[in-house]
Amino acid sequence: MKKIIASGLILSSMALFISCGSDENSEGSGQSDAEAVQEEMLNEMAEEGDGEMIESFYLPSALQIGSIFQQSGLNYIPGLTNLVENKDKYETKTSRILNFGVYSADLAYIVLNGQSQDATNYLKVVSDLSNDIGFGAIFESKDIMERFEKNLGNRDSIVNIMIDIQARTDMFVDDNNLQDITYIIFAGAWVEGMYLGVKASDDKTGHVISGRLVEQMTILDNLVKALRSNKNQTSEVAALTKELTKLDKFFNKLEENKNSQNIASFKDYKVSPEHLSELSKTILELRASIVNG
Amino acid sequence: MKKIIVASIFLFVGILVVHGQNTTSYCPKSDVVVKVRKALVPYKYTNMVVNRIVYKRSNYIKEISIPLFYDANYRLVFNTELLPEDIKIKIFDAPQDAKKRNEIGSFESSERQFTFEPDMENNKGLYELYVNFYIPAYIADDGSSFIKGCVILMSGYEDEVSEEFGSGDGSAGE
Repeated sequence: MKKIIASGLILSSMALFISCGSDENSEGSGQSDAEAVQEEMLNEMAEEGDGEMIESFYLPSALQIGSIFQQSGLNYIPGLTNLVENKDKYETKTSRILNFGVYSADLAYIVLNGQSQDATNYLKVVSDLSNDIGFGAIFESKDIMERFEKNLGNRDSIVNIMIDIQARTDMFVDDNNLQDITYIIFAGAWVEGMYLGVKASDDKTGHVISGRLVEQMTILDNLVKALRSNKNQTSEVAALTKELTKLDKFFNKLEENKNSQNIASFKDYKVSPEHLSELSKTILELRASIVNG
Repeated sequence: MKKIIVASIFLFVGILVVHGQNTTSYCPKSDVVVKVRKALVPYKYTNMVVNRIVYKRSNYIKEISIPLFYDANYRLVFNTELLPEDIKIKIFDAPQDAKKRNEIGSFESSERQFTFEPDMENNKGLYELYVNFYIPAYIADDGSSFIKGCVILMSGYEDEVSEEFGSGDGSAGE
């Protein structure tokens, strides 16, 4: 008998809690329908003043960024990517999310350069980290891993599999309102992409790569806005946003420089060695702060 | 007694999860995404943005910027089937607050699905697109709450061998 009464009390309390939370219009008994509608309108007009702006930010895939650099002549250099073993040293959720992005960019770099022997290891790291950050459902179905291993050595097929992974991720993110996390992932991927571009360019490709590096500023601008849109940033993300904002300002100076020379396209813009050196230094420092955990 | 409390907690959490049904309720996009993905072929998928559209009691413009890479060709596919009321979509080469900007594309949401391929060849300095959603004011007959919808925007880029295949209109198949 006591058990029945206890369970009844618990269930009743829960029902009361939920109904109080959801049905604001029923406050004040005796309120007419017209008054309730008017009150709702006034509340919504007040909200309108604040504006329910659900912002959207466009950020390209790590695979496309990698593809663009590779078409510009970016060489593959073994040992540049973040070590697979480093995965275990990322203790905070933010560092895992960031390095999920880093390893995603590394995977794109490896795949685009036909380095199939490393690709499986990096896919496994990406899959493991996805579980840690709540994205495990993307890799749950066995078909991705099986298809990947079956098609090792076939670059085009592997690239298509990675595109599928990207599409699944985008769908998953939207279905679960995880946009804030995806912006952090992209930050890690973007910094890693820039790092690979800086490190893997040589005298022959230097000019072309430098144009590509500067071209990235339009993406950085979107990334900074996206990161800032999250009002509940961790201190790590806030610090990263601050550094990316500084880099964005540096890029703006380069754009002014380009425009002052009446150069329309980044393709034709030659970054000075001093600016390139400054950009490289910043990128290397930023990348180190992410992969060192 | 402990079992009852634990079971009640699970029930409570379950009710909260169902009760807290969020934006997917006004943007059931699964079937639409398949359609949009087919329209992207043969361009390689790079990104999908689900633009949430909230109709308010005054007109307003929502803007999203899309960075472009030089030497790359793009296809953007828009699907507006999930909008409860029609809007206009325009594409510019500069943001709203720019002193001067050119309109390079214009669409009505009544078209339901449409594609846009920026002319990168003749616009060498085009490195960002600005998509403007013109959302008209709306109020229901009974003055009730805001209505919402979404526009699916998917983008793709041409692959390295596209020139060998001519116009770039591939077959999506079934």
